[in-house]
Amino acid sequence: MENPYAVLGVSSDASLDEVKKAYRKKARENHPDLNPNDPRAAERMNEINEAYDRIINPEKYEARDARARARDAGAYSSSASSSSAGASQGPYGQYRGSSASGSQGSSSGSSYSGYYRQENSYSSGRSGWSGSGFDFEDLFGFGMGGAYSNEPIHPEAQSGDSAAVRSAINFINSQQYNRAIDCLNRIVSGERNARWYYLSALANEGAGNTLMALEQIRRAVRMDPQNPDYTRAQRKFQASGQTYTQTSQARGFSMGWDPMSCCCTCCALQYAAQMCCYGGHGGLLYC
Amino acid sequence: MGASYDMTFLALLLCSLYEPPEQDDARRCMAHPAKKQDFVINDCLSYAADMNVILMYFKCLDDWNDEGKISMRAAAALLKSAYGDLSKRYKRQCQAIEEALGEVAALEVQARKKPQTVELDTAANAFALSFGEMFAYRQDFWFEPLRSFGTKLGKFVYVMDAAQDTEQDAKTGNYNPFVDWNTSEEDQLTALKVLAADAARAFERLPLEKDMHLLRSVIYAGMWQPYLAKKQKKEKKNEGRPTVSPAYSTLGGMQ
Repeated sequence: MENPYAVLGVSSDASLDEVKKAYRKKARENHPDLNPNDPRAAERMNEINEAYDRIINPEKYEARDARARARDAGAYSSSASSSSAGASQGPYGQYRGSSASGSQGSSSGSSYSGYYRQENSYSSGRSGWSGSGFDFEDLFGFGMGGAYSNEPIHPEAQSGDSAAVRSAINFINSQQYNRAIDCLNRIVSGERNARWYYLSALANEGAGNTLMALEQIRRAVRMDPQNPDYTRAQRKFQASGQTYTQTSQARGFSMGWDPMSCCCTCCALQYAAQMCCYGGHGGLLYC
Repeated sequence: MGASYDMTFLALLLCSLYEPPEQDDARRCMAHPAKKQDFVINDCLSYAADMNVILMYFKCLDDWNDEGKISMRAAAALLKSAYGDLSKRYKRQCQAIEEALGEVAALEVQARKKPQTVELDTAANAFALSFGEMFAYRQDFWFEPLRSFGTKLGKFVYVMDAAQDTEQDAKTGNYNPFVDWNTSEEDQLTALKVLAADAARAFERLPLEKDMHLLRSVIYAGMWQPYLAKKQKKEKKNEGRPTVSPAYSTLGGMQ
């Protein structure tokens, strides 16, 4: 796709909200349901969807396009180009892009070509329920890009690191987080020092085990408060939560107590309606 | 498992994402038999309503199993035939819920045997997957984005429930990851904020316009309501009294 912004009819410096509005406008015009006699309507809708997706998730397409180019050139290798730092293979043979595109990389084999897509085996015959990390990383881990995109921490091996620790570090740096966790868990509890907790935190963070990551980085910091890597990691893990609070306030919402909404059995949407009247930009919106 | 709250949000979300054609009608309902009530129906609303029934069925089962509430057993029996039809129509979602609940039950047994052997996220992730599956409305372009968002929101919901029930679960021995790992209240709040951020990020990827302010008000404020209500209740109770935490310790935590 040449220029997704052009497909949506917005300038390339449009804000996220403007992109969304542009999408909606195009969708309303081109919806297949509204154009029942037009066979190309579904095709146009796909194009619009892909354009939107490309704008929202550029990393996903970087990795995908790079792999497509490499495949076409006949020189496909699983350690792809510079843009996808370390494509890795999941246990089901699905190729995953770099951590920044992790979330959607696994379904890159199937393109979003059908607006009304057929059931595909990845989505319907999921076998990831029993906790296989493959699915969690995609759903919980370093997902798609967007406003909060950040590069994962790349730990480096140090002298004194055991073989198991070095293995774990390699797994972390190649986004194979669950294998890193397995590696680290084989180390007996007597040998679990601050560095162990630090690396475990990184592995768990990547695997989407957010709570565990927060708990473990806390321990690492407690065991070695002077270590700048550990405090930096902790700040990073918590950063999104702080950004969220700020965004919430910037949008005029308040996580603070609302005296109008003390009845616990009310529908939360009623709260939401009250809250946006209470904490909104002074206007009555959806009461 | 705040069932009805979540599916109302899903209804609004899907209507905003798909802007489906609507059908207006008027019918008498059991609660208002005298006058015909106007209502709106469309595919998205039907779907959310169906998901709601499914959730209600499981919640009743859960309440009956956990707390032996006889009323819940009767309710579950009533819902059973409705659930039977729905489980055929929505195999994917129902299977997901059944598997998730089974997994969580198994984890609870494991955790009871030995503390801190079940990792903090395991139960939450298991629950979240089923939530995600419900949000994934149908096989189309939005399947993955909706599932991703639903999963992250589901995780927040589970962990929020856990944060709500720490004192209770510490007394009854019901599984609660925060009780198992002695997480302080401050650390629980930190965790909730990070999970909320994840959900918000996934939410903002959807091209929504209709009812956007209302939807955002849930994501950025409304979904914290249980937490705030509890905090406020506690503050009122503790006015003038030193804070005492029962069986559940607040290691290094602050209010």
